[in-house]
Amino acid sequence: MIVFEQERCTYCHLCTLYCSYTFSKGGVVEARPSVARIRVAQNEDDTIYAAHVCFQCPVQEPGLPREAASCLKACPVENCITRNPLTNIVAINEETCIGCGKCVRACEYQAVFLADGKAVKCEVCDDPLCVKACAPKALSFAETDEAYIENIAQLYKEVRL
Amino acid sequence: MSPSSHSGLCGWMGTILRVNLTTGEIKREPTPLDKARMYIGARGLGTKILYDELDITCDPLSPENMLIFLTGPLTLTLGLSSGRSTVITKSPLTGTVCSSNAGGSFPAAFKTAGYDAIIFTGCAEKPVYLSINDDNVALKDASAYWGMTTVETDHALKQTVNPKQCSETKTSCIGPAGENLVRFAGIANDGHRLAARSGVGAVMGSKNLKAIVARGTKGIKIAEPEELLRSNVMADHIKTMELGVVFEEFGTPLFVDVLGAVNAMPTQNFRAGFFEDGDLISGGAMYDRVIVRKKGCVACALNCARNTRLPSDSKFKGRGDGPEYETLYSFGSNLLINDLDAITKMNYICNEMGMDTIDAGVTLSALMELYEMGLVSAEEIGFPFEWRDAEAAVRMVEMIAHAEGFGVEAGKGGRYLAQKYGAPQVFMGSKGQGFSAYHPRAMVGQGLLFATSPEGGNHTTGNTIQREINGIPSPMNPLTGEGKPALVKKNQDETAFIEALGLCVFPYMFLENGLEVFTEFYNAVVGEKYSLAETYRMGERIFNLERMFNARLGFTRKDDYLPPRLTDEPHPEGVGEGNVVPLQAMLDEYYELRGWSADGIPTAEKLSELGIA
Repeated sequence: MIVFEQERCTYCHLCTLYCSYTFSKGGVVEARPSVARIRVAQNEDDTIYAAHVCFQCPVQEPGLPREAASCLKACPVENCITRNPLTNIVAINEETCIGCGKCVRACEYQAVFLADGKAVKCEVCDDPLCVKACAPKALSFAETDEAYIENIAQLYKEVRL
Repeated sequence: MSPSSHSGLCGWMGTILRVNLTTGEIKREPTPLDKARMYIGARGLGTKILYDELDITCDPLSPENMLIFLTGPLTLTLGLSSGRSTVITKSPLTGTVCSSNAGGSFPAAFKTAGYDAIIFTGCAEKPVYLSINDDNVALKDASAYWGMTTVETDHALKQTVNPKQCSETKTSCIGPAGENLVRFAGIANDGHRLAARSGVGAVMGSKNLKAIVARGTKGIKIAEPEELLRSNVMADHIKTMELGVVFEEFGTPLFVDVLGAVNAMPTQNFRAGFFEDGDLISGGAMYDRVIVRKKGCVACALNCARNTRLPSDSKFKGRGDGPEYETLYSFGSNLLINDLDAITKMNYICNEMGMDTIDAGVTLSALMELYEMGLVSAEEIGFPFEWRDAEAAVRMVEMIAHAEGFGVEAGKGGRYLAQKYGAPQVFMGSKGQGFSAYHPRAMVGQGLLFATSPEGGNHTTGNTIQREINGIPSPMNPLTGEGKPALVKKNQDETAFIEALGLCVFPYMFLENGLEVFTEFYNAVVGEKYSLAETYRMGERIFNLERMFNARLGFTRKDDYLPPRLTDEPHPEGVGEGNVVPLQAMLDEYYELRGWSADGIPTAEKLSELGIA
């Protein structure tokens, strides 16, 4: 997963920009924050920053069946948002997505976005550019644990886009 | 990721907006690419448009003046510290062409809305703001925001215009200082990051234009994206350099120590170059007292900004960005004020009221000297105005911003005050703009640079600190004029190129081979194969065009001037003791290198060589 450490972030948006490089369309690479799957918010005092990126709503306790993420539950289209049982990563099928935005509104962590009429979210690249780009090293590519999920969920609820 | 197929325009967005504030008419036009090929964007393209279209004899605060906001082709592309926007106009402080730039996140929103430039002309009948949401552009009533601080305006406008997309919506606005036509008022991006210099905020205020609010969803096409990814490597390289390590730790306040050590931090209106209480206002002191966390402009890996807050035991209150090194000089050493809380407070007042901390400080230091000379009395000012008096300084900064009492006079700038009270020599600036924080007697190349800058005592049209103090790529004696004319020419021309790209100049100042690195980035973004000679020539062309703008207004050698304190009064003890700036000798050599006449006017041959009509 993409792991975010609030204390290190400097609100520079390099993650957003590099992510948009990755997801440019039509054979032309663009710097285009509005298609990025990671977006940076600040609190009103400008003292806390939050890079909103999907943490894949993992199971809370080992051994229990996987809990459906809100985006997954909200999607009205069959086989559009699905979870890979091996990797646990929740992905959106661009072909079948109708762009209704229900998943975007359902995600309490603001980690699903509409870009050019389709829902998009972090589906964890093999070699994520956002992590490479993050100058203050606030982003890393790592396993998440319960304590992390609890903290990041709280942060995303408090520092809104 | 695969390389782009060069389809369509790369770097530039391809559209400019023209907004006539008198009639309310808004027009879209294609970006003039013929001009952009010669002058790039930002400072270059903006100056070219101003040069071609403005009646340059106009009063800077009249409706005839133009106010142009621009980004450059590399803005937001990752071309290393690329989050800048630039404002071009005729300056009410200097009467010259000027360019003032700022970072933050507004430039990204403005450019992704799809525009390379917005050209404002005329004057609105009532306060207005320009609302931009991609293709939807409209002038709206700003009466409710007039009088608000920059921070209040930023918050209120975002809530009003795009309540659901606050974080994507960005502002650039003036505060009360711009509304009150303070001659050194600036324009604030994101409420805190100022295009501070040359009085661009007063021009905006004179047009009854309170703000631009922008949100954009478009992309900037990049011809060779793989090349751009090297910017990450360059940023890492900078941050592992000796200077880069401390820069990352302390941001610009590190220069309190660096320049203090070589007697080059202007102190007490430039009488000295070393402030004995420097350690009380240094980067370390800031960490101990006010710094909350590090921050960066959008698309910059260097993160030199600092969020700060005055601690609860302080007699002052507030929070915001900075102070930067320039402000630690202008409100600190320059006034002999060692109270970091007071300096931070004045910095907040300037940011929130929307005015330049440098010229505010230089105006205050001139006033303190006039007061000491007995040329202006406590009765006239309203209170005593002694060196070291932090409370008096804070009070005067507020009076200037609000145009109250003596603040009305002080708001016309240090040159005006010094002339009015019969001692023009106490104004420490050139062409009417106060010097930034580099003492020319201890780094004489910077003196030549200040004297020949198109907009006076500014550090952003070039800065010799890289060679003279930091020794990049190799050391150079800062105390003599030897080699300085060539250094200054090179630095001014290369800086003009970097700024025209829409980039911050900091990475250039760290790199040994800045022109080479940024030529490669430029080529990668726009898909060209310009040589170093060609990109250097672009910078030289821009600098000469600025020179011609001023020359047409009658500026000559006599205006490439430094106060006698720098050319005649010897530097006090320490590094460079007894030194003065050998200005006239350097000017002779400099004009010759530039291909200008002995009176400082570009020759017909030079203009023709550069393709300036």
